[in-house]
Amino acid sequence: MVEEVSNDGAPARKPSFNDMKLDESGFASEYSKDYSDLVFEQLGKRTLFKVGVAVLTLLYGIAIFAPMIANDRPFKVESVDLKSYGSALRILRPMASTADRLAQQSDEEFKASLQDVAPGAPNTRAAAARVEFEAARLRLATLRSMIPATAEAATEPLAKYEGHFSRGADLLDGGDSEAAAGEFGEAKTLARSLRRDLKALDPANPEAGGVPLSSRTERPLLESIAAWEVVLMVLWLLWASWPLWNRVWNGVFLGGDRERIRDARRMKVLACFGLAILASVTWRASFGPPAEFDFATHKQGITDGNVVLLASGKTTADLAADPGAAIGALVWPMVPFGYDELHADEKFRPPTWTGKSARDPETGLPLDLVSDDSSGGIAPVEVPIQVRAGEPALNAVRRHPLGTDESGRDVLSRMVWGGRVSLSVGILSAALLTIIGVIIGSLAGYFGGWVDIGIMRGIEILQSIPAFFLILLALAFTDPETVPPMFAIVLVIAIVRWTGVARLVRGEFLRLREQEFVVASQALGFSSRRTIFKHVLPNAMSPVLVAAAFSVAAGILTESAVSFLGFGIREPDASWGAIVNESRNPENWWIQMFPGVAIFVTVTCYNLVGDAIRDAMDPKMKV
Amino acid sequence: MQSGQSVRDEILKRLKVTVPLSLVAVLLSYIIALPLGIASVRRQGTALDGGLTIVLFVLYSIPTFWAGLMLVLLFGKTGTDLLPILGLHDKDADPSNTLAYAWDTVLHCILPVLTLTYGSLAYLSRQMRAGMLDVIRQDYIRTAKAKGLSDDRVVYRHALRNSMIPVLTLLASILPILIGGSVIVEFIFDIPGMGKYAYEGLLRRDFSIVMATTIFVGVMTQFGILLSDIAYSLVDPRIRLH
Repeated sequence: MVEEVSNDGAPARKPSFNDMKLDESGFASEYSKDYSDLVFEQLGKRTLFKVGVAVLTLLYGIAIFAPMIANDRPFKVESVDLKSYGSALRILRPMASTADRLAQQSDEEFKASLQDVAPGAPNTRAAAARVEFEAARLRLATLRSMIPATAEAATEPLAKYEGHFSRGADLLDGGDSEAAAGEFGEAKTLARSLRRDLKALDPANPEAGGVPLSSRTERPLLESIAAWEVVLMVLWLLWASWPLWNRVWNGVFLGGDRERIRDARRMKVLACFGLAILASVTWRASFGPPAEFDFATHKQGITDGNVVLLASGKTTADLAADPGAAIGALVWPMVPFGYDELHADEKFRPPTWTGKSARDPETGLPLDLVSDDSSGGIAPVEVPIQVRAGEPALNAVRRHPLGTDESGRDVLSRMVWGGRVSLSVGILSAALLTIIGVIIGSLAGYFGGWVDIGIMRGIEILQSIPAFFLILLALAFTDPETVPPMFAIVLVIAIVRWTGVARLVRGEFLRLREQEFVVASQALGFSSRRTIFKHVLPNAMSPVLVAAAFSVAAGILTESAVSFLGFGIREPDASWGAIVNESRNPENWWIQMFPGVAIFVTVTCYNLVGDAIRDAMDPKMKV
Repeated sequence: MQSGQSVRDEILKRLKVTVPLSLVAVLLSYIIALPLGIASVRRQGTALDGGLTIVLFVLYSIPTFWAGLMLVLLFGKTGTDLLPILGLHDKDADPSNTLAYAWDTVLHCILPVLTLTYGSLAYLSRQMRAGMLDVIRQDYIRTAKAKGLSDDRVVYRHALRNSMIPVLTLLASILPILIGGSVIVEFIFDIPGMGKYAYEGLLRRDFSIVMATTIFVGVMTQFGILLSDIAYSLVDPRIRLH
């Protein structure tokens, strides 16, 4: 973020004409510094600014990469889902017999049976049978994908079953119910024998025999990442590695020529966005739309033994023969807990690095629990704690480094995900209120007169009620069902808080309005819009940028306070303020302390950055 | 109102809690912030100045609700158990014993007032420092020094009044923040004031409570702005009240 700066001793005042002609940099002698050169140079000298930007970059990185840091989905899992194979096999016969019944029914009987069916259900017998057929085909696809290519013979009856079912559906379409019933009946009998012949080989019980199943490799975590998340991830990577590639680009492609470096700025930004969008399109093409993922089939499934890990290319027969060699890969993110993953057996567990956190796996009670008289003779409830697949051992330090909340959700995971909401509310609300403020403020400042008076009185009325109070009020009367709380907060903050920016912009406009370049653009007959946006506004932007940096901090603070009071983000969604809201009992100190630290660090960094930008842009405003 | 009580009586009762709390908080933050700002400017560039700047900067960035909760953790039963954390009085406090009762109230008020104060305190002394720095670079201060006046006299007689002007106008912007903060503080410390009342009204979607508290909050803000205008004219004789 910091332009390469090589010289020193630039005076801490606004660039005067003479300064700009100075050349102390050793670059091409015709090079003169422009305003942003000077600003970047000033910023580059501030350690605190650099620290602030680095910490913010880290926090945003954690927020953007949250799905890859804390998730209950594995990066990669090589497994075979014995349970879904079994249930797919079992349901073949009921589906065929449903279709059979449809074929034997008269239309009147079918109509009568329709009455208690949800709207949108198929309303003819043929269509209903077609639905059954499609469902059966899905199950057949599941079965076929699990039966290895070597067991080709086993899949033959499956094809027969599909053939009967398909012909039956076609015949029913044509109106020949009797022939259709015959085909469905065939499928039904076939399904009964299939269920016996195609039984899966259970690696735990190989003597019982059955068809060996092959392994499937899935990447549930990566599939759940949406295209816009990829855009942000790539942008973040480019931003974080800016000092590296910027140096290379400047040195190799631009030959260190300051003029060309300056001209290339816009090009670089465009290249970053282009690269990000390209990456996201590629991602979408390779993974498809984000998959709805039922974690029970993996985390819970592996824990329960319904899903068996199996190396790719192997079958369950290999696993039965040599359990050690055929175990599949299972790669979890650093924090293998979902932000909304419930663990009712571990509620309000203190951080695992504290002494009080040790738990007895059998009873789920604290190991240091000493029954005393204060409990009033009531025995604590014993709930055994289940350690699910991928999770650290029950009493490992890294299991819940920041404790758990009332439903046993991991606070660390919630904080990682909550940062997404908190940080984006800050950015979005600041952007929105700046846009509103700039537009209204420039109207008031540029046109003056009645427009100005009207707008200023409106601002005064809005400001006469404390902003936080208004925000609370607006949120309390917003239905979280119709407006997602996060967007409601962003909107409400922007609508209540734009007044400060508007006053600032109006003041700048009043100052600039009488200056020669504005008069000149009016004399040239430029439209008001062009004069405002092309000529006056760019000159009024520096205080607005500083105000925007501070309003990001204010937005984060407001969001957390509102969520803390229970009017903002609600469970199971997480934001830093909402996590604190989950328990106000001083006993559960970890729930209150850690999210606050995150808020505090973020706000401090934004204030540091805002201070530094203000000083760099206009040293006269120094505090 | 849903519970059948008169909103007016309730608000009047609760104003008696919130207004003194806010006033104490405002006064305290001015009383502490001004000397801090002055000290910081007089020892500009020293470790004291640097340390103060950092501490105030940090204080300024701490969320109010978090500060309140941390104070509860620190001073409440789970921490050092030094101060009461809930309500304005002990359950068994005896109102007939005036002195003990007053002392009990004071003890109960320490944490809430601290939570209300620290933010505006940090903001004010940062502004005080900035204003003072601005003033002591002026020519008339150099003149005063050249006359051979003592440092104290220059700072307190010549610089102070002028640097107070921007800080006093801040009263108008601090008051809304304090009132917004009182919702949080009264919620955390369970104080039966306006803020808690408004919170309860919002929670129950009780329209009459919400309307009444909003109007009152608006009026209190306007009153604060009026106060700051009056103070302004007291400090700066160039501005006259008409």
